[in-house]
Amino acid sequence: MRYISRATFFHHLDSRTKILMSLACACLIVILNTSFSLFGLFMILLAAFFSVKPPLSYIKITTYLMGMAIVATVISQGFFYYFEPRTPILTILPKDAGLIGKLTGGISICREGLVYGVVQSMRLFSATLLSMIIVMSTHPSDLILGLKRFGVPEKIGFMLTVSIRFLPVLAEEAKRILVAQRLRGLRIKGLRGSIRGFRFLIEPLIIDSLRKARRIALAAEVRGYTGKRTEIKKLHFFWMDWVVLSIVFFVIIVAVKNRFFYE
Amino acid sequence: MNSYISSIIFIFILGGVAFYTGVRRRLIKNFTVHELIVIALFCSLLYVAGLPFKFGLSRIPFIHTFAYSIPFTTVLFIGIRLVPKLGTATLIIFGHSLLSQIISRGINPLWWPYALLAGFVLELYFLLCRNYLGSRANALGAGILRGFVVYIYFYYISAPYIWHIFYAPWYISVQTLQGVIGSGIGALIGFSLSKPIISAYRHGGL
Amino acid sequence: MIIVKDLTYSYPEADYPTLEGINLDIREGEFVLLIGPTGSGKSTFLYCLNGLIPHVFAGDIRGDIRINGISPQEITVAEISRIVGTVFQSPETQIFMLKVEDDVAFGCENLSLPKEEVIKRRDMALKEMGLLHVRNAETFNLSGGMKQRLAISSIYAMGPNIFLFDEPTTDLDSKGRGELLGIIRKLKEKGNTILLVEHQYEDFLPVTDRVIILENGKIINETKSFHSIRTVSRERRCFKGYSSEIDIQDLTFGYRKEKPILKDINLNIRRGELIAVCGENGSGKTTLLKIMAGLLKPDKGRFALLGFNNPAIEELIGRVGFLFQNPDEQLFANSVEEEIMFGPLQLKKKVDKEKYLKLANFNTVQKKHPQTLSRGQRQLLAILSILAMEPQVIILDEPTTGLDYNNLCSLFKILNTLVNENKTVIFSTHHMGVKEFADRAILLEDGRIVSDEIYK
Repeated sequence: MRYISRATFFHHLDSRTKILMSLACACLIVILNTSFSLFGLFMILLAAFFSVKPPLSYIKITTYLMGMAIVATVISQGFFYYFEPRTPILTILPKDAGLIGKLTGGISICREGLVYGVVQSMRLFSATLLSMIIVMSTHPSDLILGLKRFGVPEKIGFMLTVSIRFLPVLAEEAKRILVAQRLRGLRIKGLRGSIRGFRFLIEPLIIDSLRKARRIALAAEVRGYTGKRTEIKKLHFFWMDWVVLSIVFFVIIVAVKNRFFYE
Repeated sequence: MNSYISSIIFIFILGGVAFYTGVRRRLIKNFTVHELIVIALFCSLLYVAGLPFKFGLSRIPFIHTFAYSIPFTTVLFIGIRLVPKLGTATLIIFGHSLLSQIISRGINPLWWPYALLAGFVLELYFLLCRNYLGSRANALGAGILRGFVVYIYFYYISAPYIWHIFYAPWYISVQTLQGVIGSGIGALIGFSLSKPIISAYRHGGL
Repeated sequence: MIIVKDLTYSYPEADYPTLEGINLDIREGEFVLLIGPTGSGKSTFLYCLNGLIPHVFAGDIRGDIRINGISPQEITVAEISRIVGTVFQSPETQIFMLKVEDDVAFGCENLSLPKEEVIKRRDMALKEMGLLHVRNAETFNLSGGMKQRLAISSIYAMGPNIFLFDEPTTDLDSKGRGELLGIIRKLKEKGNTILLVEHQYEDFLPVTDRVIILENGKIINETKSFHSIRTVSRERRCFKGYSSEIDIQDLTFGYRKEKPILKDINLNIRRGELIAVCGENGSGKTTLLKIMAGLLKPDKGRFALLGFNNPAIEELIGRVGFLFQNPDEQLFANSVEEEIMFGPLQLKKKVDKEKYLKLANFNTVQKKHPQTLSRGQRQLLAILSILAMEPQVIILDEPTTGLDYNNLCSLFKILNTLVNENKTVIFSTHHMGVKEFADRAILLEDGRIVSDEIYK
């Protein structure tokens, strides 16, 4: 999941707006309680997702992730939903069947649980879509800059930049090490094989990373890095940002009121 | 009930933020550029170690927790042994969490307390033991503690209060037990793998 | 203006000094070439000039260094970086930001210069270094030569007038080297003082004012002009076999179908041949080597190796050995002897460990951890670890990278031994003058074979 350069509405928004939107949507995902409102949120985010013009591969991945989410949630809540009323439609293990039955109180799937699972998976869908929207429309260096403006210290921002910058380098290296292992005759099938493969992957990968770390640190020193620096990149708020923030603020107020003050 | 839980979360977040802003600003000065970069690369390494688990390669739901804890804890503990200072654990864990959020999961501050908690718990453990994974027993203890805290928090607080998804106590125990055992094993593996790495680091002019 | 008097330096816990009694004066605007075998102290000397010694590397430093009258030991590394700029060997680890223009500005930002000044210097550096057209590109996607150029730009923007280069061409192909030479010439023309450490220095001789040779920490010879290039001697021998080892017909391959990297390759390699594959980065050298090792499957055409048609990796393990560019990605064990025996152990083969240790004179270091060896030695160890599996065909991707004269000699001694044992050896290289070693040199350009010369 990477940033893709396009010219959509979300791409033009300031990264700080998007961070605040993330926080607001995250709160909404927690606060909203009715199936209607959850579905509404999901639909809005779905529209937003398509507005960012995702390529087909991303749509496929998102669908796959949402599919996994709904299956996992429906099954788990089918089993574990414990509010009354509870009508079991399929019992795997009755309450009094042996030790496991007594310990677990019986394992059965109930209808209300399945329905509940479908509704709650809207939350996971919304979170998945939201994360896709933010990642696709915001360059990582802008996100880090936004976080820094919100108070994250400079050295942490630098650390994050270095991690993101070198992540693809390390990932490629890991792949090459795995191929080199196979060429040396190392068999990595099965459980024992995976453990050996892991051990012979981690050691060279970490040692080479340490070597890189030394070189990167020297390069930072000769570039005068001390932790303090002038930042020339600027973030600008446009009128669109204010509009979005006001809408989001309004929605949050309404949601909080409805949830906590009308119950 | 709900407001009680919300207040706990709020207090925790507040406490975390206070701890973070107050203590971190002083502590960050303690790390040299080289150490910060080692930590940064370890955040990336944690992400790389978790890659096979992201795309369903070992997504057998039941033992997924166990399978993921091992490489995560191994790499994390090697990192802590390489920079045995107060704050390393939190920086690596939180850095990794932010990294995943920035490049794939989307910025979600609701997950920050989870990552910070994992870090703080380890820092407290190290402070109390005065030992940054200096011995195998210390590492095993740290691993078990990490597994326990992280999974209990997830199943008792994150899942029900953020996602409104419930799990039966027996299921939570099974998953937590897996997490504990997995983290423990990862800790031991990390400890033994770190020995040749550290000796190469010290004597090899890395 | 650099004045060095009686400089002696030992790394902490070292038994003997790395630099001993160095006396050197470098005038403003001079171009000095510093050469010598690996371990002679060249990089260490540079670190004494840019302040990394003593501020980052502890150790015992004695003697006096004055750069424009100031001693690097008395000011911080950040302050020195305004006068002395350093460019290291690996471009990858000198780039910090995700976008080109952000990385160029990084150094100036660190100096805490005012915003307008930073922007002005950044734009000037982008223009002078020829990076304007990629200013918004992602740094990850740049070629090796462009990355090195970016590293230099970010140093250039900081405004030093002394430039130190520590083996900057090692990871570059000849196109990248040519670009770098152009930049260094430009820097010289602007009156900057340049100190260049290099193994592959032939290209730079025309711009060099002075050559200094460092060996075991001491300056042994100082000449105004230095023309002889010692070449590695080669024992020529005759072909033994004429059987076809590798046969490629009409092969086309691309990582993506629409973009073929190799086009219509026809190639026949006989047993016992020593072949050099040359070409720029992007010409398809590495891809061709990987196909020959069975790591990639051709999209079109026929590929036969050792009698196998389009073989899978599993069929070739133990029969074909492949060396990747970075030896550190292939070293798995905790000691040199364990590393050599690693492959045979997996294949359950019995081999004579001593024979392989002797090939590279590793008898004295057999118990050491591979990572404590020098880069050149690790390269040789990676090669030995593959040879110990006794493959029939050995394929090496850029084995000459980063090797100094002595290690190059060892490498070619090993390759000659292999060929005399009737094994087939194929290697790719950027190193000029090395292709004369081979029996045959194949030049790839844009995915096609443009020349196939046989030397006898």
